[in-house]
Amino acid sequence: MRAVWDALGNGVIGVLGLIPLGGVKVLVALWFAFLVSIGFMLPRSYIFEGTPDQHWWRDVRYWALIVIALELIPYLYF
Amino acid sequence: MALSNIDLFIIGVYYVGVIILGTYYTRYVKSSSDFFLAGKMLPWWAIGASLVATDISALDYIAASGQGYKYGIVIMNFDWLGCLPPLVLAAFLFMPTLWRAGVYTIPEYLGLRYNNAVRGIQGLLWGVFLACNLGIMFWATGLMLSEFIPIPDHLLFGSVKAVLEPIWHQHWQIMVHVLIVAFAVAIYTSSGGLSAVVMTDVVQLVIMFVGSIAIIIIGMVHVGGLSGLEHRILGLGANFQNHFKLFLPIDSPSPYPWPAIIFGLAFVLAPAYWLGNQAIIQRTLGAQSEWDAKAGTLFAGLLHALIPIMIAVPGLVGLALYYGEIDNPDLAFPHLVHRLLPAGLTGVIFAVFLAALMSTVSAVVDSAATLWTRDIYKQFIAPHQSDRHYLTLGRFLTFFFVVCGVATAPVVNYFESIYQAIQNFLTFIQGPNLALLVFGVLWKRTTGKGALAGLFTGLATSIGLFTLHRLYHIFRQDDPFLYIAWWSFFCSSVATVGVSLLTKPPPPEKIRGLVFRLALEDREVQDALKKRIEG
Repeated sequence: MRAVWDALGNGVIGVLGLIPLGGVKVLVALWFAFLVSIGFMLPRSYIFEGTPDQHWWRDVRYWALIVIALELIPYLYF
Repeated sequence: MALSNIDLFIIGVYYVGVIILGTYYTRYVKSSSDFFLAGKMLPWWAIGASLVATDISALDYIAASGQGYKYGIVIMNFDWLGCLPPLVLAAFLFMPTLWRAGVYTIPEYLGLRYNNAVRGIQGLLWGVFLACNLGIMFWATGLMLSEFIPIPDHLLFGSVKAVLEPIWHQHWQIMVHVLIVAFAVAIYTSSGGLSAVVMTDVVQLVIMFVGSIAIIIIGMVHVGGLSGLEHRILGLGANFQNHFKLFLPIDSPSPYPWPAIIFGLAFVLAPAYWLGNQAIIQRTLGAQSEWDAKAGTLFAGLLHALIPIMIAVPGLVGLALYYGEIDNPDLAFPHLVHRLLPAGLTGVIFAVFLAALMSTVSAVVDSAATLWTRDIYKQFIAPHQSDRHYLTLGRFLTFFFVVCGVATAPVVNYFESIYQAIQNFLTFIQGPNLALLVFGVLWKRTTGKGALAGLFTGLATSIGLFTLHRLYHIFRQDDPFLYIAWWSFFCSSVATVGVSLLTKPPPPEKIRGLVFRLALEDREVQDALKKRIEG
């Protein structure tokens, strides 16, 4: 049983282990960029659905940008 | 730890204030929708604050600072990588779809999207988990609070001991703390419903921020700032060289090597928690508009960016200042409070613990009552009762779950395996739960049979891997819950997609408004959904 699992599960994990930690950070940064881009791919009408006006500060895509940018800082530093 | 009079005064003001604030919202509860979803009147700022307050329990302060002490900043991933990305996904894709669907619970959505079998199984799994978890939460936090403030035998001239000791024997002092918390939660949650829970959460979060920031500032001054903290810890020896790395190498003996963090936490457990946990998403479903649901979720992300610093840094400060003095890492935070804080601030920190505890317990109680009322009682037992009937039942169940939580709390002490079993149970259901929600919201081709296949496959995978690990130690980590969650999600997804492709697609009218792309299209969907819910 252990041999089977080593070949399947731990084998996959072992291949991932070849990626250097710096590469992992790059992947995480790309993941964050993808998340923000989702918002900017959505129609403006969808973003503002349910708001009484369309002031810039109600654009939640910029909120997401700030949230993700804040999170990126510790991942770049540490 | 001895509390001064000023500490006790602060704690008393906080406790009474929260009860008054919570019960104030009783006047707005006229229907079951008011009780379970706050009448869909919640603004974005309250949703954001409540999401964070619900997420952070008193145990997080102890456990996260303990893990920070032991493993370093890698533990911060749980509140950064394990929180903000799913919140962004939730804000843009999932919450608007669920909000537009007009549902009260996640199982209710899954029932509309797939079938009643999925709804029943999911409702039962989550209902059982939330109800059982209450006893554990009560016991663990009562235990922790009694470490902070031991109840003296002579409290109220010995009458408290005289009444409680015959019932709970040597645990009566712990149960005093449990009863104090349970009383407040039962009063304001059963009377004010979700409005009371959310509005008290806002106040509780403010207290949590004030207290936590105070202890961090004092701690950082003592260690000489961030560079002083780093210098002291790295100087402790070879075992501490990874303490300032957010990603640990794959061969790290800790439970947190980077593939487990990325695949188990970031891709499965975190989204499952933030997208599919009823206790979390219920306040978003009560948003006053779709925009408030989105903005509230992102505001939670903004607030949450500070949480890892608040709960993990005290562990690092404890390590830097008191290495060698602390035997158990979980005592790092209490030790820090004991050694560093002046009178008055200790009371604030105790209020922080109470706030963190009460906000989480009230959310769990409220969502358990919602699940059992909507997805079990209304769906399978008494579907055609008046709205007043369901409101009364919701209130009764809220009170009932608190009483059950108190009654079962001491049992946890005798059976450690119960605690472990409940935690394992959550790991078992998170993977398939996420797969069903993701494919339900994002892929219109997913069918009810595919969902059932995915649900059972995911459960079988997680239970199977868990059992195999117990028997043969198949993972390299002692506690491979992150890897088990990942494989459970993966297998569940494969089964959901495979069986869906082999079965007849759902008719468009059945899934109208329930799939992200389709919900995006037009406002008519909302009317159609409202009619379906009312019908």
